[in-house]
This record gives sequence, structure tokens and C-alpha cells, in this order.
Amino acid sequence: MTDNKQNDFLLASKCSADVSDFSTDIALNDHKLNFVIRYARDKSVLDIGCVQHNPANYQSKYWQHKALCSVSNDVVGIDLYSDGVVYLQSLGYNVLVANAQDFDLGRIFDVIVAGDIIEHLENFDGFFESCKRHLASNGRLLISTPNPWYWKNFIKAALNSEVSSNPEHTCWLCVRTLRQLAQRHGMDVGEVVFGSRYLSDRLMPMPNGWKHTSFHAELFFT
Amino acid sequence: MTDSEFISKWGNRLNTSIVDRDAYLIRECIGKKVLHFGCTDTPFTQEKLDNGTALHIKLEAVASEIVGVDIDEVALSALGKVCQKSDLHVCDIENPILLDKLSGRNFDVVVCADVIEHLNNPGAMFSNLGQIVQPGGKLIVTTINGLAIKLVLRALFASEAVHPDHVAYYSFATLKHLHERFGFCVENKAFTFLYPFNNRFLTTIQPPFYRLFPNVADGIIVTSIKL
Repeated sequence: MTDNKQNDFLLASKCSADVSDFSTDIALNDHKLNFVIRYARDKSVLDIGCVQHNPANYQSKYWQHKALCSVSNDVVGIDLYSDGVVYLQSLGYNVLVANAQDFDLGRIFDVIVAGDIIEHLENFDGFFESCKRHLASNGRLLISTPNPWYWKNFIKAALNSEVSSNPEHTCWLCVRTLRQLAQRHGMDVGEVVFGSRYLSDRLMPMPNGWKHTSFHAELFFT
Repeated sequence: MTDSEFISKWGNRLNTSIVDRDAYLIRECIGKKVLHFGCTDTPFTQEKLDNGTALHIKLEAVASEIVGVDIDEVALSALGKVCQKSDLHVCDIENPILLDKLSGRNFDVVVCADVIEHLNNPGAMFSNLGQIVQPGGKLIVTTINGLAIKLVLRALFASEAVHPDHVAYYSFATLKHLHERFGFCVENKAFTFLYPFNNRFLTTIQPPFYRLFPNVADGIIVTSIKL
């Protein structure tokens, strides 16, 4: 990987952590954490993109890796952000530096969690093939990604703003495109859950495909 | 107020533009050495050749030289029967073999029209393009706009219509990031309206609506220069 690309991948790692989310608690009722925890409980779990942009996020009640560690004793995290990984290692977490598009850890997991990762990638083939190498035959790949048709995205676009919640996003996926992508790699989409952290979004009398910021999908081998 | 006056006034105010995709590409290719990726219109190649709407034929008519590349051998064969001067190749845009097939060739403009949304590995496409396009050369990528109002409305009514071969959507911001990641500097963006409605009223109001709100139009065109 060239330095330019490496820097681009890590752009979002310069994002500051949201101090208001810092807590010793885990937001188990959060839509994203609630979804992954249901599948990960007492299973061996690989968490892709475990640093979540900024290693200070380990203090956040929304930090996915902490939530996964709270329900499983066998959780491995990988991330491309080496400084972040080293920091988390110093805190005692079992995390490694690896590229989500090309990794080989030499073992199998029951559940692979790719929370808000796929929209950062340029090589879906590499991601799916790496995940398949590490996933048990009856395992589950859990993918979370922003909802392109979230109502605020549309309003921003209509008003001529650049709609990109993160400086390193490379694409958008909806449930149908995710399913078609999975099917190219011998997988299919099972459960799909839409969710938003904003109460105002959740209370809106609108369809899920409009009112929620993101969706989470369960993928399995066909 | 004429169309051009309207676009000039509102397009400038909004700092973006709404254009006809084929007209834009034709204008960019006049008298140029052109490489056209995805040069067939599978599965509509024969239909478009019959009714004269195939993009490659339009580009061939204005380019000084043109090379077409597509993965669909059957469609490429049909296209070859109609083309006058095109050099056509069967190859996957994500495959490095492409570089061998095109080695020694220089192009003024490389056109990737509605290809990227089909790819498993858009990074490989940009990596190949990074070697094919010479520094200062022009790359034009077009795709469906992931934030198009038609897609949003279909999501509202849970009747999303997705091409069975599409695996991702792109907005201008995500395309810009991909271009920059691979050493291309975006110099222009434009939006297009591609598809008429079945409803005559909606088809009539579509052009003025998109001129007011171009960022939610059907398609995106990103023009970049190789650094």
C-alpha cells in the first residue's frame, strides 16, 4: 500500500473522540451494539476495525470492541491504525494490525463483526475472501453500514452539501446491493435491522429505510 | 428563459451543473484519442445499436481514435459489426492483464461510463487506470447517483429497483475520495438525468426540478486529471 493510500485510509483516525459519550458503562441498548451482541454472546469473535477511528474511543459507551468483550471471552480485534492498535494492546486488549481487505490470522471464528467498515473499502473481493477464510461454516458475518437514504442525507444533498459523514468513505450500500455483493461471494443476507441513535429519528412516523442512520445485516454461507 | 440561460443562472448559483450524459461525453471526446471502458450496454446492446442510442457509436463518430474494452464477449461482437474504426478488446477492467493489452497506447481521454457500480474491486480499476492514464490525461467516470431522489422515494415506498448486477452506490463525495486515493485530481462534477418516468407529468417536471436540485439527479459525472 502506498503512503498516500495508507494516509487516506487513516484520515478518519484523526477524528476526535466524542467526550460526551465517555462512560464506564456499555450502551447495550444501542441499536448497533444490541445487534452484534445477540450474535456474539459466548462465541469466538473477530472485530474488524476495532479502534473505531480514535483509540480514545475505548472510553466510549458505544465502543463496539468493549461491548463484544463483555459477552465473549474469545474476541480478537484487527485494525489498520497501528498506533491505535498499540495503544489498545497496552490496555490489555487482544488486537492486531491488519488490513480488512487482506488478512490472514490462521484461525476460524464463529462470528466476524465488520461494524461500519465496508463503506471504507475499495476491494470488496479481498474483504469477503478474507472473512470467508476466517469464518466457521455455520458462522455469521455481521455488517453495519450507513443508510444512504437516511432523510438527513437526502436533505443535505438536495441543498447542495457534500454528503459524507466520514472523510474516508468510498461508497454507499443498501440492503439490495449488499445482498447482491454477498451472493457473488457465496453468501446471503439474513436478518436486517435499521437503527439510529437519535430519539427524534426513531420517533418519526416514517419507514425504517428513511428514518434510520444505518442498517445492520447478518450474512451467512449459502 | 432558454435552457442555457436557466442552467447558467441556477447552475452557477448552486456551484454545480446538470447535463445530458451522452452530450457531455461526446463533447469531451471530439478529436481525441479515447479509451472507452464498458463500451457495450449489456443487456441492452443490440436494442441500443438498433435504435441508435449506443454510447460507443456516438463516441466513435467524434473521436480521432477509439479503443473499446468490455467483459461481455457476445455484446462486444455485436458492437464490432457496427463499428467503423474501433479497436475492441474483451477484458475485465479490474484485471492487470488489461495493462498488457493496452501497453504502449496513449489516450487523451479515458471514459468509464456506468461501470464502477458493477465492480467487486473498484480499487483495482483505479489502480489500472492510474497506469493507463498519463500524467495530465483526463478520466471521466459516470455512475448512478446514490443519493438520487428516485432511489430515496423508492426506499420510502419499499420498492427499490436495483439492477441485478449493481453491488454499490456512489455519491460525489465518495467518488472524489476514491479518485484522490489513486492520484487523480477532480476538476469537474456534473449531474445528469437519465431515465424518464412512466408518468408524463413527472417526466415533464423532471428537467426543471433537477436544475434546481442537481445533487439529487439520476447520475453523476466526475472528470479528473491524472497527477
